[in-house]
Amino acid sequence: MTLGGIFSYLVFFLIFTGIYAVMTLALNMQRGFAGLFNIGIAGFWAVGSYTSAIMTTPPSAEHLGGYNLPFVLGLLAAGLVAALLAFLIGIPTIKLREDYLGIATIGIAEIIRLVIKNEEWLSNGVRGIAGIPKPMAGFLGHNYNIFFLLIVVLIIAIFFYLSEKGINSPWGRVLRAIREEEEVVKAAGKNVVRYRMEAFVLGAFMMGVGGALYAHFTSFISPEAFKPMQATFLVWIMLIIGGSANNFGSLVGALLTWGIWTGTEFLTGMLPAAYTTQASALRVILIGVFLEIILLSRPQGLFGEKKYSASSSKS
Amino acid sequence: MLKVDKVVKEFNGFRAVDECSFEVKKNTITGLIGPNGAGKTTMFNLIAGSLKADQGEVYFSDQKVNSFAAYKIARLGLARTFQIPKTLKKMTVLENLMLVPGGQSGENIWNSWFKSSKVKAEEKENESRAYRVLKFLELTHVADVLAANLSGGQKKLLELGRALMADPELILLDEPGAGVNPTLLNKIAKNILKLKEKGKTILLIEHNMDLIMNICDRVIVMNDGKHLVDGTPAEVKSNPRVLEAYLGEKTA
Repeated sequence: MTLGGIFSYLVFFLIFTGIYAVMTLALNMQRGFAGLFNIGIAGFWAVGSYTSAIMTTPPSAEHLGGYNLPFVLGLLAAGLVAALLAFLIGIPTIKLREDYLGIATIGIAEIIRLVIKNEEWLSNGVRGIAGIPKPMAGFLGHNYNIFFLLIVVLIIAIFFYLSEKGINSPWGRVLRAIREEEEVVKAAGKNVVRYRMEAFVLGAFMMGVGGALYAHFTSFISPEAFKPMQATFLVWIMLIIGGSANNFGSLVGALLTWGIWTGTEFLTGMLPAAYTTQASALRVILIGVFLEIILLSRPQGLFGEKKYSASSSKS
Repeated sequence: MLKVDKVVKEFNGFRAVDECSFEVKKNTITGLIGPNGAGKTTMFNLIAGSLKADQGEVYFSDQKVNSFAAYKIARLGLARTFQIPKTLKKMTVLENLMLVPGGQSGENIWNSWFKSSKVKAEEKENESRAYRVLKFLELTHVADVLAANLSGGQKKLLELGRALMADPELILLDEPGAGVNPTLLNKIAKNILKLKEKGKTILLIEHNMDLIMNICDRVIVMNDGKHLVDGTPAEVKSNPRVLEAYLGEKTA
């Protein structure tokens, strides 16, 4: 491989890492800060991807729309629709014990995948949506991916900043308090359900935007892309490895986990062709072993929980 | 101020509170006593909205509150402490207190993102208020300690501190004296009296009879989930039914 090849692979790798980092930051908002058990990330991811695809592609007979809108509006709409979905799921489930939210989210993620697979008028079914435009693709030549990487980094920076600012504020203090002892927060006159819902919806917004980035970068999406292994559990592993309730840890967790995930692809690629099916299972096993090592040696994750404070005099 | 009317609460057929009625007048200190298992803490939970009554009504500041969520009742001006201290373990003592005040504009995420200067100013105010409470409770030296690392007595004080931070009309204190050393107990008693001077109303569960007799205007006695008697501390003390309830047998 040439030096240029290695460089462009690195950019490609970092874009995917970045998309996963958006997802991990989002999950950290929900799980790390608010203790919400969302195991249906794939659903929000898919909704974000398809929303932006439908919004930004040119009109097509194969699926709803497209509405030919600019990339930025697609991103925004993806976030908003995912947030709305979270709000609707949250109404019946968010006041229940955490396992119920888990069951609801994993169920709905699967339902969404099946709807996308079967409702051809909406999403073109199993054939998926192709030709999702890349912003400014006409102006930038073959170094385009660097530009896209910058977009991803910008979005991570915005989400990181807002998430940090939120958790280090009185709002974040209530959120952290809910995780510690709900009764105390209620006795202080705070509407616990509202705060949980806000964290859930904010996280879902971020997931929707992350999904949109994915759709525009790959420029083709189909229901196959939103299976729980890659879209949900990998994000959870990233959060656990980096350390829950730590935004910086989330970023590092995404980098390491995605590094190992793609790295194992190289390794299993070296196996004889007859073993391709076994090879993909082997990747999952390797990630599992990595997770076990982290859980046994550093149960709090590489970085552990960060100490957050709303106090103005400190920090 | 507070009126409990024929309230019933059952747990799997066991009547923890059985048609209990009483009233707490504004600006008084009322003691709620009774043997273990009389239903006192359950009654607190019913008043504060942590539990919902099966029958009967609870009125607080002229409103029927028995269907209200706990946080709504708290906003009407009710603060409570918990018998077994509940602390925000991974947060500092200072944060435990600063959480409490209502109507903080920084509790809105939008304000916290985009109106930092206003939020910061309020936080400063909130912090100095928390330090005043800490000073009063002699906890200033542990302000930055995680609540999980406090001693049992200090956790008890933190409970009281939270109630003070809320600046409520009615305060429910569940055994504020348990596990607190006698000197501090005196101080707590004085503080409860001071709260009354400020016009607050206090309802207090306590097993320390000296504390009850010294500071309460009225005492309500519960037994087996029922309202047994009420009256001034002196009246209650000499009431044979109370002695019977506490000692089990007719000893009088």
